[in-house]
Amino acid sequence: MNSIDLLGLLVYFAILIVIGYRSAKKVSGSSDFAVAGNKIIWPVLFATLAASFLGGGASMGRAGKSFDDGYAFMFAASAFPIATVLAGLYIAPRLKRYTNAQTVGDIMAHHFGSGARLFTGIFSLVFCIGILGAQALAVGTVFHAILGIEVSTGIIIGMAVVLLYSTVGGMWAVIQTDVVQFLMLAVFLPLTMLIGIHDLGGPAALVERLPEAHFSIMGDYSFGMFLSLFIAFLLGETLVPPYTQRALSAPDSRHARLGYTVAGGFGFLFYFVSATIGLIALVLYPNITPDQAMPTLIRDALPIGITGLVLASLLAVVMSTADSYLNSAAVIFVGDIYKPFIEPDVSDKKRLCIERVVNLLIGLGAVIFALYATSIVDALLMSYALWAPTILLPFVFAVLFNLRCSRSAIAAMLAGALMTIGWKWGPFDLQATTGLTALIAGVIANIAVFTLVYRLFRAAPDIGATSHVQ
Amino acid sequence: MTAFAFALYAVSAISVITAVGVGIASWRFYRDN
Repeated sequence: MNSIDLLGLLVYFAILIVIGYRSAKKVSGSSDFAVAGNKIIWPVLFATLAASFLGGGASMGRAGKSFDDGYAFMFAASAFPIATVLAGLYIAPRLKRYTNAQTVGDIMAHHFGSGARLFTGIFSLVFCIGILGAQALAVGTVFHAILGIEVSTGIIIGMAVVLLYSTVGGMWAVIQTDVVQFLMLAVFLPLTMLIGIHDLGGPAALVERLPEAHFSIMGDYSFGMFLSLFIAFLLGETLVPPYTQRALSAPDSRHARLGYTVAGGFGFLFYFVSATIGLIALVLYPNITPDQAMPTLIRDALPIGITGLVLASLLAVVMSTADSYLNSAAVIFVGDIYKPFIEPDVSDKKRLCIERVVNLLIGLGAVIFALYATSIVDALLMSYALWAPTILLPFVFAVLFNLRCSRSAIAAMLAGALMTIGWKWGPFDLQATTGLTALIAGVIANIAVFTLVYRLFRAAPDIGATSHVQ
Repeated sequence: MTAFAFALYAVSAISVITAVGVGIASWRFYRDN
């Protein structure tokens, strides 16, 4: 790498650390660490939410899939931005009714009692640590692909910076660094796409040199396959803890609604850019592996000086997702497990101190898993398949319809989890037999059991909720 | 210009303009907080 490029990269890291240091002065209590004092206006909320959900999957992953399958995967994955827009219109504004809420567990506790909070808290924690471990691996992969250094060295350098600013600055630092990271990915990845198109000889050359199926909506997918992917993206990651935490950071429902819906809209644009980069790489470098599509284009097609900035943008994409999940994991542990079940009378000062220590420990744990035990990261990532079939729908129903029945939520979560696990990892290949994916089977079980038990045992929630509806 | 070419340039332009808008709004936000 050229020294000018290296300088760009170092400047980027220095900016993140300075932001972390300055943010530490704003963090005087737990609400600053968890939801930035509920002060985040919608343009900032939009940028931090977009930077969080546009991670390694939405960039390098999407480019790799379009390298293989054309735009079809992008169209299927567009269900996620659709879900984000819908969440912005119907869910995010309602979340501002829960004063003092910092986590999904706070809201679940309000509607379904402390058992639902514990289940949600433990599950959310595992989920966040799994994604964090995967993002740590992605940080190392980006370093390796562009700089040629060892993946392990890349993980240590990148995650050390993330740990530093997120531990001292909490949500304030995460949000501010997310904005910097958003600006970089919003400018430099489209620039990479345009330079790549120029190297090809223009958009017409790209269209001429690829099969027509690469530009169609469903490509070579069957209708069933496309629909399964669409549903997986519609539900799989919607309103996961860090995204919900963003809505709770807004000062009021208007800011929450605007931040969410604009972020969803931007998701469509970014998916298109990532997928097009994959297609450009397919024409320019047909013999590389799909996951190298984006890093290879950045390394080989961009001029000196720009490469370092775009590498920093690619790191920004991954690091902004990692810091969000890290912050959420710490906040969830303290808010949903430590405070309600271990030390209910914990002072705000001690709570902040514990959040910082847990933030550091979880980050170190994720780095160790990524370095020495990727099988643990894989195991934790299994929780990714369980978010929609367990927590998402009871959470959405509760917020939309103000439902209160602890038995229905817990029964539905267990039913959804058991169905998904049995379907996906059980002895029979039920997906091949029925054509239904584990996610869809789990969601059906979740809804059916929730509805049935709610009708049977509709009742007031347990005492112990810490958030209050205005 | 084909619709595809228009989409490529339009998406890039919107993305950069959005970044500028977010940058200005964020700067004001941090200045006031």
